[in-house]
Amino acid sequence: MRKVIAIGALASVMAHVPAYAQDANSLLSNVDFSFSGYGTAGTAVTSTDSAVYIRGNESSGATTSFAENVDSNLGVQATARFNSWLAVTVQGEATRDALTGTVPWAYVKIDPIDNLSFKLGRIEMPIFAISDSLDVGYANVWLRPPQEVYALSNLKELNGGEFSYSLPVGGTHLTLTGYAGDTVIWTQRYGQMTGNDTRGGELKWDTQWVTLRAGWAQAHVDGNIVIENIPVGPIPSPLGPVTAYVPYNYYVEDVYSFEGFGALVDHDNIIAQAEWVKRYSHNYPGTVNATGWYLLAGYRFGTLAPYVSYAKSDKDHGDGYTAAGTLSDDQNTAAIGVRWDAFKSADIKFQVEHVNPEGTGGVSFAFINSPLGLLPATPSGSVNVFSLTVDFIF
Amino acid sequence: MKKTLCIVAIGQLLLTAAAHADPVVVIGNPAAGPLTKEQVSDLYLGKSQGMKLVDQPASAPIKATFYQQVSGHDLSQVKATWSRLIFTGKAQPPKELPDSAAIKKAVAADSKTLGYIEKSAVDGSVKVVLELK
Repeated sequence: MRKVIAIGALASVMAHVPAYAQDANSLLSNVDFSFSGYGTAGTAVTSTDSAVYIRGNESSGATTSFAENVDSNLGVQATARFNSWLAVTVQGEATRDALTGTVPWAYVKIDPIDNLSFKLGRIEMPIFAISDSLDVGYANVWLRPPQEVYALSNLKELNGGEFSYSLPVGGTHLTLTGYAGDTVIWTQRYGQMTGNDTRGGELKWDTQWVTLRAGWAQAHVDGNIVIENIPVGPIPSPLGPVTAYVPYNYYVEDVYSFEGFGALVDHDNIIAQAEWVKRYSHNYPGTVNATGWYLLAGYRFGTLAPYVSYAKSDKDHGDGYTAAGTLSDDQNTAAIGVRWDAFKSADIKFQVEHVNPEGTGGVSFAFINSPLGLLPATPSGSVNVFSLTVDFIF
Repeated sequence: MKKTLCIVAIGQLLLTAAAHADPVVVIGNPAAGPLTKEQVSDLYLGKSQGMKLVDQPASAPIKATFYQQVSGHDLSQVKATWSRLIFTGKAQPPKELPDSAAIKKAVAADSKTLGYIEKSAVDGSVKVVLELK
């Protein structure tokens, strides 16, 4: 009896195996795979050796010696689309600054009905207007985003979920996006901290030639950070008495918030962009709070698009501010540049910037290692930056 | 020499005339309703979704004409717009098919598919939902 059941079970399993195999085969044969990528190859040089010019949180950058790591990157993306409502996407990116590479995007996308979509996995948050496509040089007019605004958003990618709902309103589109999950926060000054219970949203209104948007995000920050190295000594040594420096660890718990408003115009040959953003902290306003804004205007003459921009960041110099302890400081930049769509899927950009850190450590300069720990580098006066890049997609 | 120039000029005139005489039309399934230029522009620039889009190959001259007429954008601008949408997972780009015949076939086979071809290539299998000027 047992044998019969066993044989019966085996037969039934055998009967099902080809059916499952066939299902899997037909599922796979219907999967639409697509591969694409983006990249930037560039170099930058500045007028000073008194501070190192960087983008975002890079560890090294440009001085009077050319640096290729400031803007260069390479991203590849693979998407497997199973049907009209289900797709899986993974994107990997390598930058010359962090050769290990990162995975900015890895998500399952579900579109249950028209105009509604969910992404689950790892995503870049739309904290400011261009935050989610900052690294795709080809998508943007400028050579490099204004650091006075974009260096303020120091949340990395989110592990969690996002929904997006788009509502057609009389020929225009109103899109509401919301997201939640965990992230990490990276600052030059204090390194990495966790950003749990992160959430945020964006409301965007798109017409034929104007996009208006408002965004907000919040993260619970915590971690052990090294505030400074404390001198201990003098301690006797074979070379005589020396001073030792001991890292002073400090546990930080805080809530960071980001808000931003933006307007993007692309009409006939006119390009204009403006954003105003704010970063603030619940517990350490003197270290974190800062405001940034920029204006950009450009005009297309065929394949040439010259542009000018002005950006400014103001650190909140209120309670608890110290020049040595702040995440970023005051800075303004006037820039002039040109995008030349020289090839079918590649452009060439040239940009000249006049960066004025207003006597502080500014926003765009690498902190320097000293026996007392990381300290802001204060450039002697304004710095001119010259950059050349080639952006491409494939 | 003068004769050659004259022939070239006439040839160019004829070519220009041919281009004007054969406008770009947006085609849908025979059951589809008409669309406005703005609706088609929003779809092909990824601002709205809900239709399956098919596109001409990059080598076809009609592609640049279509995007210029429907949105005022040249192909570089269109590519820049789509690169932002593709690498942030906001939208699926239109699928490139080899020629107008393949586009007509795809549109005829599916009520949610939209494409564009030369007006002269239209037949009973598809419906013109918008004629561009």
